[in-house]
Amino acid sequence: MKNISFQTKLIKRRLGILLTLVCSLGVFSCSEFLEVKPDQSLVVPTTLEDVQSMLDNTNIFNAQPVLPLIASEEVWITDAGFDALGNPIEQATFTWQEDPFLGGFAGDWNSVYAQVFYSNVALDVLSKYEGERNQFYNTLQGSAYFLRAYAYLQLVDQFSQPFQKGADNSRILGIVIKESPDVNEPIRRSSLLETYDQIFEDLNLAVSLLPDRAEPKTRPTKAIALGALSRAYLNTFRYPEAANAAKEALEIYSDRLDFNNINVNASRPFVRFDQETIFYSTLFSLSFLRSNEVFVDSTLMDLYDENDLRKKAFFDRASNGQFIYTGKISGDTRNFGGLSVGELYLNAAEGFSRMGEDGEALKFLNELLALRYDSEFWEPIASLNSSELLERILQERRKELFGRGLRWMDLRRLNQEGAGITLVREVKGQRYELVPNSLRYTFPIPMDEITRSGIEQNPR
Amino acid sequence: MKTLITILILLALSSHEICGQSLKVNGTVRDGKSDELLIGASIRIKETGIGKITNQDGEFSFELEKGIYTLSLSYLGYKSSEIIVEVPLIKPLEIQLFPEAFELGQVEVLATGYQEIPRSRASGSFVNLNEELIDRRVSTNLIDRLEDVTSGLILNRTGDVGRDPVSIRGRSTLGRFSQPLIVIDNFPYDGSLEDINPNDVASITVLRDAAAASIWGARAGNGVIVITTKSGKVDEKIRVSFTGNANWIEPTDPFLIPNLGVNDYIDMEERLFGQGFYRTLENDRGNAVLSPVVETLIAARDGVISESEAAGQIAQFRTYDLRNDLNRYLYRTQLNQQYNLGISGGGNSHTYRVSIGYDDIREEVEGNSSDRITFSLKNDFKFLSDRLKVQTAFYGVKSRALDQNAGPGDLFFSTFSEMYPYARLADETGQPLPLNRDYRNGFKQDLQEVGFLDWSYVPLAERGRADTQSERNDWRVNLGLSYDILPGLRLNGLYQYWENYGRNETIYSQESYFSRNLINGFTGLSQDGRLNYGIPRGAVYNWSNSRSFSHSGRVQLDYQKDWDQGWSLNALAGTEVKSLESTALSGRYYGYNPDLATSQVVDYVSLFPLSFNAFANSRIPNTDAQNLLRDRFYSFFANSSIGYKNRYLITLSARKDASNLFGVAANQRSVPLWSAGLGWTISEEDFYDWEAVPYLKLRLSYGYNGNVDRSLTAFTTARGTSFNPITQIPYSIIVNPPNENLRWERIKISNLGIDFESRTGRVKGTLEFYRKEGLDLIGAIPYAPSSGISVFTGNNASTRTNGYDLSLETVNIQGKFNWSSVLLISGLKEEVVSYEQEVNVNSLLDFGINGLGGNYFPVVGRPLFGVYALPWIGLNPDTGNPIGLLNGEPSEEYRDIINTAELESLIYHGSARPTSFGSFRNTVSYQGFSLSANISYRFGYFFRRSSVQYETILQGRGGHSDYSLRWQNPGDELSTSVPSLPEARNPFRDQFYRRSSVLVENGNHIRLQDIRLAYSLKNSAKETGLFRNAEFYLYANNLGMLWKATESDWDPDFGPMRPRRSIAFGVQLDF
Repeated sequence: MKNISFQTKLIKRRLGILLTLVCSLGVFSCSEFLEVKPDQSLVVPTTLEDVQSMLDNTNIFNAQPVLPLIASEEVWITDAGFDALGNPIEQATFTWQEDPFLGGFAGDWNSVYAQVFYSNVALDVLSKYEGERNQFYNTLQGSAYFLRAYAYLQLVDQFSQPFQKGADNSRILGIVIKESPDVNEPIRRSSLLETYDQIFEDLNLAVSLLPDRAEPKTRPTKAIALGALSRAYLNTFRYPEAANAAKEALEIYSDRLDFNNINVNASRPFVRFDQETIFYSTLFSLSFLRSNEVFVDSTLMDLYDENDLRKKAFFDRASNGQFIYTGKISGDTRNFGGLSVGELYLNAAEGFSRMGEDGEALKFLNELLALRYDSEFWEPIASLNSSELLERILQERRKELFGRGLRWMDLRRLNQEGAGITLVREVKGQRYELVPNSLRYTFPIPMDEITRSGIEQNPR
Repeated sequence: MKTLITILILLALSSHEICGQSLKVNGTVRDGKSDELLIGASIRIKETGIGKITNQDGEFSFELEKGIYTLSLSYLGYKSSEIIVEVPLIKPLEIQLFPEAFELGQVEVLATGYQEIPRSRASGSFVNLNEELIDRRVSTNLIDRLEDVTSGLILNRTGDVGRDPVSIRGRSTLGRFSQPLIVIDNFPYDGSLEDINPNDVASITVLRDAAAASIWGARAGNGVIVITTKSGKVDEKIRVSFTGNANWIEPTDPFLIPNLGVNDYIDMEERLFGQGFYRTLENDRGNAVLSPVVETLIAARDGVISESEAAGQIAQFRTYDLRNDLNRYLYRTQLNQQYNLGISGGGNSHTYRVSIGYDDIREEVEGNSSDRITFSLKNDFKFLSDRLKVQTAFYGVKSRALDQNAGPGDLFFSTFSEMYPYARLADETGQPLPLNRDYRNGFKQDLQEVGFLDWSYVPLAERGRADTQSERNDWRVNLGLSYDILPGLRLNGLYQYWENYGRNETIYSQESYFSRNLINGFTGLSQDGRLNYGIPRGAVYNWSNSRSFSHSGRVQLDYQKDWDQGWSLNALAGTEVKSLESTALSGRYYGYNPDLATSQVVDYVSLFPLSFNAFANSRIPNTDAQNLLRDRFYSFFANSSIGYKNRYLITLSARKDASNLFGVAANQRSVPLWSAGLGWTISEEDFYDWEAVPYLKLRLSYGYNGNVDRSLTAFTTARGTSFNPITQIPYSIIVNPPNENLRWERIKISNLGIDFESRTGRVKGTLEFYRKEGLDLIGAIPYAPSSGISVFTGNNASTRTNGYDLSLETVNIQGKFNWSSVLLISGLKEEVVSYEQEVNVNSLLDFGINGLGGNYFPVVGRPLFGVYALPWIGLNPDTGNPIGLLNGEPSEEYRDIINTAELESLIYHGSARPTSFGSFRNTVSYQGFSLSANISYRFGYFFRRSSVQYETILQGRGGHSDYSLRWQNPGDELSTSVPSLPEARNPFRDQFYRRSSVLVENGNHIRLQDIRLAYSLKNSAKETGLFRNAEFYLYANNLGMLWKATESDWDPDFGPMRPRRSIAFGVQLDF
């Protein structure tokens, strides 16, 4: 018996040691062994560098909606080209159909909201950042505010009714404003007024936080934020603010591209990130933009003077005598959509003109045109009466900002100002018309959004 | 770890002397016929009443005083016997038991990867395949050999097949990791199953329920397949076995692909040309290629050739058919050859097995081949009077493949289009001919004249110019130690190192079309007529290397004790660690000179103008990529079974898994899972007196398995990318939005099983009912895009599967002439129980659109993979337009039909995967001959046929052969359901037809899967002295359909194609 009890004791002791050993094996490794990253390229963003890296995603940012370009009247397409368009949405948009999104592409909405999401993730990481909140921190925060506002600005121009001059914009539907990266946050449409308030708030914060310059031109700067601000003020008919923001931006961003100094005959006269580009962003690509059956509206071509270098720089003549758009300031085949020096000059000129400060307006107009006309023949515009000046500024706007989708924004606001522009096009023998202030100036929200979040659709 | 083992060994060794008081009585129990060790045989000492059960190695031992004892031996299905022994023994006992005339209760040994248990000690659901069954089928791949011989297992042919090629009792996860866990020699296998030589496999055990599989915890959710490799046997003379077979497989029949015929294709090209369709392409800035017919029509229009010449040429084109040329020049009968030599044997304390295998595959495409060499060496040693066992094993595989890049898969017209059907690969004399490809011929010629490289595409001349060679070396080393610390208590230590090295390289020589095309594209013509090469001339060399390795280790304690009162306990507990790392690198060299092995640098950053499009520019393609992945697992596990008098059995199992999940809080890195089971051998009860069925056992189990989706995180995670062509600055992509509620998937399984056997042993079987509930399943649900994501992945679904598996073995005729049958019947009903979001109706309707399924679409109350359709009324008798239903009324407003479709208005046909399947295998034998045929069936499911889509046809890109069956004149609607050719492209009309119920077919079918005819010389050793055993066999596979419900010529599982028939001849010799 003694033996047995001794044996049992021994067994117990041995088992005890064994268990201790096995357990200690567990303790030593659990913490460190499982800390290893499963995929070396993954990161939970916490540092400022992580945030910068997210904001440097030019596939998300630096890309913007394309359908407004197709819907406006700058170009037309042959019947054969129309048939060959890759996505039914392009045909439906070109002819202002009731719901162009049936074809499936909803990038103009989805991809822009991805920008809002990325910006919100960046702001969220920054709000939890425990390190020193230095200039780099401010730049990143300003960048995120700017990028979010720029996205909202694209969305509101396409998916909300135009800001109404002299009406109650708090009763008009705006877009969905997202406050946080939480994907479960309830989704509702704010009012148009709230939307613009948010845009102004974000942009003003961005102006106060961003540095004057940044490299490369995909990253936001103070001048860029001011430029976007001036665009937003134009949309809301706040001309003095628009003019001043543009003016300030042009003071900060002092580079100028004189078309006399480039080879306007080259098939691609512009280089990416050249002086003209303040903020680099390009339009989403659809087959419409690549079609060789798309030609420039001939009445628009007629507006270009022979000494206007933009005619040669922007366009090539096709074999049928029509003009095609080849010289894009993106420097490649993509349509530029960001902010350029030209736009700011024209924003300032229009703003001052509408304020009644014709002299200031003319100064900005002449400064721009000197960079655009053949210097050999260029004579500054001496005097024009107020309405002629405004008309000239708006005409230069069409000529300068061709192919960027900005015309849609202009049509929406100019018709509010009583421009009375009716768009007409003929496709395969059928005539289509878009009357001023038509509900079809507001795109319907893609079905996926409507069915999944239940937000209200736009009337068409 | 090493020190730990050393300490344990030292500890254990010291115990030996203390037990020396009583004398040791030990030995082994074997099957007297087959010499197999018997695990779980019961030995009782009559004098003392002490009982023991043989362990995993068929061994037992007692401690007894000196004297004479009677040992009573019994084992289910064997004749009981008694032997008298005198203690002390001179040498360990070697006891033989002989089977009863028939075997009662199955005696198979089931391997779980942690232990081997006799069937009698199992409460869970196991399927065991023995060597004979594994070897029945001829294939180089192990998984194929499981099909239609494993109850409850099915090879999926539809729906997410890439991630989910095999299902065991349905699919209880939505996620990415839906494959069963494969365990080889006790450790999960990380390599490719193609690297396992089927000839080295001794048995396969499939673990189907929680009690069987929960020892594998969080990796067992989809079932576990445990593979055990062959070993040498104790006290066996050297045994040499050779197997060899050659398998001829018919090539793919290109005529089965439902493509537009040559005449229809050319007619359409002519029609489109008449409509001016090609004008846009003619003016294309990218000089996009046009087909020979279109080029001919252009030449005629422009007066380059006369109308009659053109007509003549086109008439000539109509006589060509690419499919004939494919048969003639590219396809051939595939020949797979397999040879394997194994040598095994063993002495008292050492057993060994060494094997060498060689496989050679001559692929069906000319110029492609692959081979594989496998080597294995396994040694088992026993020391310290058998108390210490050491196992070592080495497995190595080297596989190589050569692809000469000349197959039908390389025949393209342009990046987006397939080759025109009247392409001609060679002329009457067999001289290879050029085809139109990528750019227009005139344009190519113009550039060739100024010095560009020859730009012609001659597919048959391409063979050998762009060889892809791939090689994979895979090896693993296993080391096992087990030591009997105390009677009944054994310590096991296992370790495995696995490594896989893969290399893949393609050298596109400068003569290859690929290189010429790429170089020409980046060649610029300067003003002075000189050529600037963006990409240097020479070969393009693509390479990729991958290396993976893993360390796995396990320490485990086994305890076994039998009490006199009839109780027995088997328990094990241990811990396991695993670390897996894989790296992959790939890249490309330009201007490669194979003779000197030199390459040239290129400028990846600048934009180069493209020679074929004056308006486009591009960077030189950069294929450099690298990644590094690390998986780590850490687990604790325990398992025990308590039995009473062979009658009652309780099993318990638990496991906790932790893994290096990324972006989750530390407490979310692990999950505990458990299971419990009950076994009741009713036939052992005293009250049991059903003589016809002398063996009846009831099994009941319940528990949880798990499934881990390693790609998800609770925190926001981003992935870095290294190159941004616009800014040259690295950037990151957000891969997961924040999800604080992330949990592990769990699968709750209940199983009820009945095992029975008739008195004569002629009928035996197993019937099981089960319920699997997938809880907290991770699924992707569509999300409102304004949230910034359009798909959200999280724990948002649950599923339930109810099913049964019956396997019934009968011996119908016994005697000189034998006839036996095996019937496997499985049925299951899968349904989604909850899913947080309603799925998009259009996605549901698109399932199976391309003939072979697609992703899952969870709909509550329906299986994961279902076939849905829009109601179909018929064809409009006046126009041939398809008619659907809109708000309950017949309608041709296709756009509205599609856009207003709701789940309620769709027709739900049924599951897209078989809900009832099985096989019926019959074997007849007479003397040395045996003939076995397997008939398989699949019932209770539907599939969608593809048909014509005018969208592509009206763009001159070809289409479906149903075009020729289309409605053309009033009255046709009585004989066809193919809509008429519309005036203009109408995507909604196409979509409506594609999604309509008229294309849905019933998948039910029965096919004759295979036949095997064998002749074996069993006893020839005595007569000729040449072999112990010799078998010659013929095996024919994929023999054809016996019956199918659908009237269409589609195969429900293979679409328009057919599984390729094959016939093999083989020998198996044992010397």
